[in-house]
Amino acid sequence: MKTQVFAEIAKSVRYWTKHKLIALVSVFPPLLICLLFVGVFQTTGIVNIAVVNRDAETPSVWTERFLEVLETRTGTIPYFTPVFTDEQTAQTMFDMHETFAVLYIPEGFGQSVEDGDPLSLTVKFTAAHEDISKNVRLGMEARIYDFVKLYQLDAGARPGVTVEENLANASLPRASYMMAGIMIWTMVFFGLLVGGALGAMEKEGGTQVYIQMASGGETASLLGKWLAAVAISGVMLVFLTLCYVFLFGVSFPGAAGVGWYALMFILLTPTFSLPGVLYGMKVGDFRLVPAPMIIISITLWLVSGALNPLEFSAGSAVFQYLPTAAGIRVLSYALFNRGAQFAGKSLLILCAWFAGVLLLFFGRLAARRRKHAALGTQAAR
Amino acid sequence: MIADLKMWFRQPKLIIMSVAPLLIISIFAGLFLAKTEILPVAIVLEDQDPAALRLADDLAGLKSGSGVTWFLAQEDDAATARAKFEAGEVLGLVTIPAGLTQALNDGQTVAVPITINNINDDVTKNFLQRMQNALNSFNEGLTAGDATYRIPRVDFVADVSPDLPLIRYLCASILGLAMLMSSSLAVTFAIAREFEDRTIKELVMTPRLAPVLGGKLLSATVQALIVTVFILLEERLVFGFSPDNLAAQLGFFLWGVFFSAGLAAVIASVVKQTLPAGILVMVVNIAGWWVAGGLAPSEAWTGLLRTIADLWPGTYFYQVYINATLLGGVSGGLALRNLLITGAAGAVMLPAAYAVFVREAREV
Repeated sequence: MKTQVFAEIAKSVRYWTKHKLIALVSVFPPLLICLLFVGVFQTTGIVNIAVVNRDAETPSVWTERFLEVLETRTGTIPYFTPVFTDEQTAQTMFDMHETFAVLYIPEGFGQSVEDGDPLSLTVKFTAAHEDISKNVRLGMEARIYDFVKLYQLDAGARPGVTVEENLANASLPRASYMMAGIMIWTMVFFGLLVGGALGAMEKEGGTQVYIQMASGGETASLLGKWLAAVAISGVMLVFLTLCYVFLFGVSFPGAAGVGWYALMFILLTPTFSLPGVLYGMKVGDFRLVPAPMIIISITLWLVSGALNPLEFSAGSAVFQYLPTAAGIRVLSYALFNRGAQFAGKSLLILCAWFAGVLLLFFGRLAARRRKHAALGTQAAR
Repeated sequence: MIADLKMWFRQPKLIIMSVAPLLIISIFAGLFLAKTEILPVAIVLEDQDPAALRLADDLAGLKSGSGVTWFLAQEDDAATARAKFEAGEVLGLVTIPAGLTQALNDGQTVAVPITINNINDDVTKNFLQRMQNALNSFNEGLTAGDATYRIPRVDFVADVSPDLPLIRYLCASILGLAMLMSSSLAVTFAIAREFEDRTIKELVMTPRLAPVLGGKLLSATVQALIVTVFILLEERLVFGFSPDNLAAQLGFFLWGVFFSAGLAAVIASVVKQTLPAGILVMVVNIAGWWVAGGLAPSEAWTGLLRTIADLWPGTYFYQVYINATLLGGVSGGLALRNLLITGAAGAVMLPAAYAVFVREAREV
């Protein structure tokens, strides 16, 4: 049996190295996901805003101060890049979607601030996208807060309330935070896809019948493909992890971080590669493997806290028991020290899923044996 | 054309490939990406001072332009609030100090301490901005002693009111994707099938291949129309969405078919197999949709992604389509420019597709 399993693993690895297109299909989606998801969140935050200063003809120190605050790159994003322009150009920019918002500073604004009764500013903006609208509205509120704080409250010119923030954790860009989810998704995706490809290869090659004829052939084939899927996924994960590190800025906090990452791989990839192998064996055609695997893995990833912490996402009471959600929580804790309170329970959930897959494996073997025994009895009769 | 349509209707696998990805994207984007974060926060009032109560009300009551509450505020005693914060049940802990009215009457600036579980910088940014919004609201018109203090305020004038919820944007963009992707896939299946089934050898015998391709394009248009109407109905039923310019949708649809058919025909002619070509066309369409503003307007990107978006002609289709669908129309200048860009792309790709198809067909 041991020899058969090793032979199966060697055969699977040879299949993989010969079918480079499949390897390409496997590596492409994670990189695309990274570029799309992480790229989007890495590149937002600085917004062009057209500024029409109708108060320019009566220079005022308060208007100048306000414009300085508008341009500052401290505090919370979005940071505005003001484009000072005339009314007509501002309107054209707005119409041609070259800016999301036009800020109109009214004539006499500076003097009105000086007099303690500020005139209202006007912001014309596009409200077609809720997130952009929110950023325009809150971005302006944040700059007004900064302006009032800097020049009035901190200067003791008036009473008021300010915020004194204390962050419980170190800074962590959202794009970096999302990488934990992407790394977990990669493990799941590889498990399903590689497993599916290896599972399908016998039917594709017409060799399934030889395996069924050999003594213990089906058991060795299933076990060998499962182990091979894990091994091949591991090698590919090393390559992808290097890409994540060098292209998308992932960093591991020491050897312990790498250890946790490896543990997640050991628990997650086998959990998904066995169902992948079984599916591949069932359909027997690699062309039917990638699409469902991509859909299943991305679905699991999205509902497991891919973009936002799970505890603040819809359906978290149920989704926290998914292996993907548990994996993301453990890895977020290991890499970024976020969500320590969920790590222990999540690890238990992962172990339970792993045990479940082992049960599935032995259950399938038992079922096949019973089926063969029944067939043998029938044949003897 | 009729043969291609019959073929499509007889093959559930092809129909599923055309509809399933759009349905999945629509349902998942709608259910999981369209939610505005409402941030859970624990507020500790050190006393029942009137100013403190007003500030707590401001925190609990402020809403976004589309009517979503910024905070899910819970008033707690200090120990309970701390316990909730440490258990990860709330994202932030706001402590409003005692004697706020008196301090303000004394002309003081009072700092309100907040502790934020900095899960990631984006959530923290949202938290802080919302706090600042609430404090602006509190500081505006603040009466302390005998004086009333004002701060600059903003009149927000949007092109639509109230601000549209994110789900509407996603529905519009997915409908645009339905137009481009379903027509691309239909063209791909119609062409790749001829190569796969070896019927291309018979087609090559015809004196002119242009009518053959034209027939396939017509068949693809009908198929794509069916899929697009299906997705439109699904969005109507599940999310209550319908375009603001229903009458103009057919025009946009035909524009989308013209724009997207050429590239799909090239891919199908080169790959020659239905499933791989279909998957490739799907990937190109979904990635193009994403980059072009599927989830957020591409004008919001910077860096490499912005460059890709600017170079990808699909961006200009989505920009006009989404805005016109949500707002009822766009400026004439934008419509003309984008029509020219996408029209030029389509006009280049269709003859190129014909040339590639003829070359590949003759080589078989």
